[in-house]
Amino acid sequence: MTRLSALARSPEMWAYALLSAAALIALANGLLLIVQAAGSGPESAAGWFVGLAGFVLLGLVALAVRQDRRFVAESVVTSIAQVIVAEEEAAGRDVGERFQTELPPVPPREAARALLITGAFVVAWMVLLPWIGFGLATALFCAAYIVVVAKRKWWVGAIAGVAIGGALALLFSIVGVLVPTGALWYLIA
Amino acid sequence: MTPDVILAGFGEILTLERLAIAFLGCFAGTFFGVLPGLGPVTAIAVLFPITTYLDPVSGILMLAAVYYGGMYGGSTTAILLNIPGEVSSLPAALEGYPLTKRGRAGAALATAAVSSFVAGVVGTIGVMIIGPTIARVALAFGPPEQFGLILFALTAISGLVAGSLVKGLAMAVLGILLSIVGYDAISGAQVMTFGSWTLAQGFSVVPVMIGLFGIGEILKTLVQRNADVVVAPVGSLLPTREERRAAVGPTARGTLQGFFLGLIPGMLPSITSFLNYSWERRRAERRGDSQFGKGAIQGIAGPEAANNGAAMGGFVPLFSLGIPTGPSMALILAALLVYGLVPGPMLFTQEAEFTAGVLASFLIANVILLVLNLPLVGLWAKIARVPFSIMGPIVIVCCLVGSLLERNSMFDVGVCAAFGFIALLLDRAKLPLAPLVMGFILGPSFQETMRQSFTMSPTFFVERPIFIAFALAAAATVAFAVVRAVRTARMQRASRDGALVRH
Repeated sequence: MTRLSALARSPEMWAYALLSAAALIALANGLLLIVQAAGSGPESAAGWFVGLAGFVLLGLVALAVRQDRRFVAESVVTSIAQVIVAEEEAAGRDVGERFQTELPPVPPREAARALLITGAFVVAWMVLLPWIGFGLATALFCAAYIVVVAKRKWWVGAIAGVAIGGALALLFSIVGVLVPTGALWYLIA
Repeated sequence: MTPDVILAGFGEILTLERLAIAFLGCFAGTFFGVLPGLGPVTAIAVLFPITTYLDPVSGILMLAAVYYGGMYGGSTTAILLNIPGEVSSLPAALEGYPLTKRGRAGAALATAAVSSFVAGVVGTIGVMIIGPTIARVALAFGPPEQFGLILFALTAISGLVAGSLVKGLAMAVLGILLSIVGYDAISGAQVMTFGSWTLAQGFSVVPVMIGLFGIGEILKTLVQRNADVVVAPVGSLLPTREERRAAVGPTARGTLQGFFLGLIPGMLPSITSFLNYSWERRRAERRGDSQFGKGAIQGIAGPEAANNGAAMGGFVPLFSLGIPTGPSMALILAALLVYGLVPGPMLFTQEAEFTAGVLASFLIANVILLVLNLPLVGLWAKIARVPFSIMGPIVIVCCLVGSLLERNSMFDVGVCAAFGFIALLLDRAKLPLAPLVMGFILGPSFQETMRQSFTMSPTFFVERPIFIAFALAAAATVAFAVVRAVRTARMQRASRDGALVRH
């Protein structure tokens, strides 16, 4: 059970699942196209290409899973960097103080919260955009993001939201970029 | 490329409007480049949709300016702020930081700017000389040769950028699959559309790219702890006589190494700059009295030159063969397609005037960056400290609007957002994005040339010598990656066994 839940939390598992799903869809679609074209002509060739690509992808995913269980792959740059870091440390200079390859991650629960809320706000922006227009939707999005995700005071969010929404809407109108102005206002008018 | 064509190119660029566009591009690119976590690719992805409102020459001029600005901004923050991040910023952390501590940050920045400028100018001249020659050869390429070239490009980038060739190739194939969703170009059959009209139009390049490199980068920053940004005093911008003398050799070597390595797909500017650093380091050690690790100006000049040299080198295969060497070039290729230009040998023959204008614009952008950015170092340092909570939502909104503009479709906005989250997932799973993008951009021509080749002759792969050469090069890349993987696995097993014995 614990192994299963650990697997469900691993990004590798989800990424490989995504790749496998894409591969299976391609494989199925390829076979369908070949059958529909009765195995000949350009449509069948399209089917062969898609099906083969799906098959190759499935094989590559299997190889990648097998590789992950045996060793941690390193890029050329990482291998050279390890040698340089080892040299620096041998010379008595602390590299860690100056350089980290990755910033420490935020706690998983906090990360999940931030991602979920950002996703929800993006969807809300998309839904509201055609109705209330670019300037207002953006102002609301930024204000909500700054208050909820970045945890600033509400008035900071309000001022920043209005400023950013207004500035971007103004910038786009100057450059001549057409953005939705909001169907709701036309309906009310 | 004849001198009068090049002069005509300059004539086209040196107008007030175009200079203003180059200036804006440099400014906007540096702006994105100095923001922690964002780089030149993000800068291009976010600003690309706006450039489609310009004419082709101005559009490419702006993108080139944004690209250079983004790279310049990245090195500015790497030297001044010591923000940790990618492995490739190790040279700046090892050499720039000690210089900053000694109050020589200004000299380091000036050296970086001048080295980049030299590499940019020499690289542009290199493109003018080498580009047309390769283009003439490429004119003789038929579908089998094109197919071989794309095959090589995809394996090269998969083997070089990622640690694991298998993962790189898997991402490239995923990119190809994504690119062929919609109507099949040859037969008109619907591929992976599930009967949906929206999917039948296929995934557009713009929202996918903006999602992967714009929203994806923002989400990545969101799940990392904020770096403590401490801005060091810049000090005098003028390098001392010794520093100037020490920087000349590395700049020259870095420019040449960067340019020629940059011609190879997968040799991203960040990789060449890192390779140059390790070579310069070895060289200094061999000659004795190495200052590397203690703030060597050579370790700033060489990698910076290699970085810009490679950025220029990448334009040669892009303009003459239509093959991008990495994500930035892939985005510029996408831009060319949006402007209705087909990258490939025709750019140096039929569209020579356009290309001359573009190359002239590279030189102008380099000059503008040199004269504009050094006096503005203080401003860039301040921008780098703008909290992410303000910059994050602005960049997200710009990305979403950018994806909406091309086809005015909310489906594209959804695609952009979804690919942002997919980019985060792939990054967490250590699956590289560069091969995915290359597969996505090159996918349609990969499929077409492959099918055309088989139609021409079912045994084309043993009949066409150029195809065989490319296939052998691809096989060599695969062999190199396999040998490296076996060696890494053996070393890791040995160190694991060693640890067990000690216990």
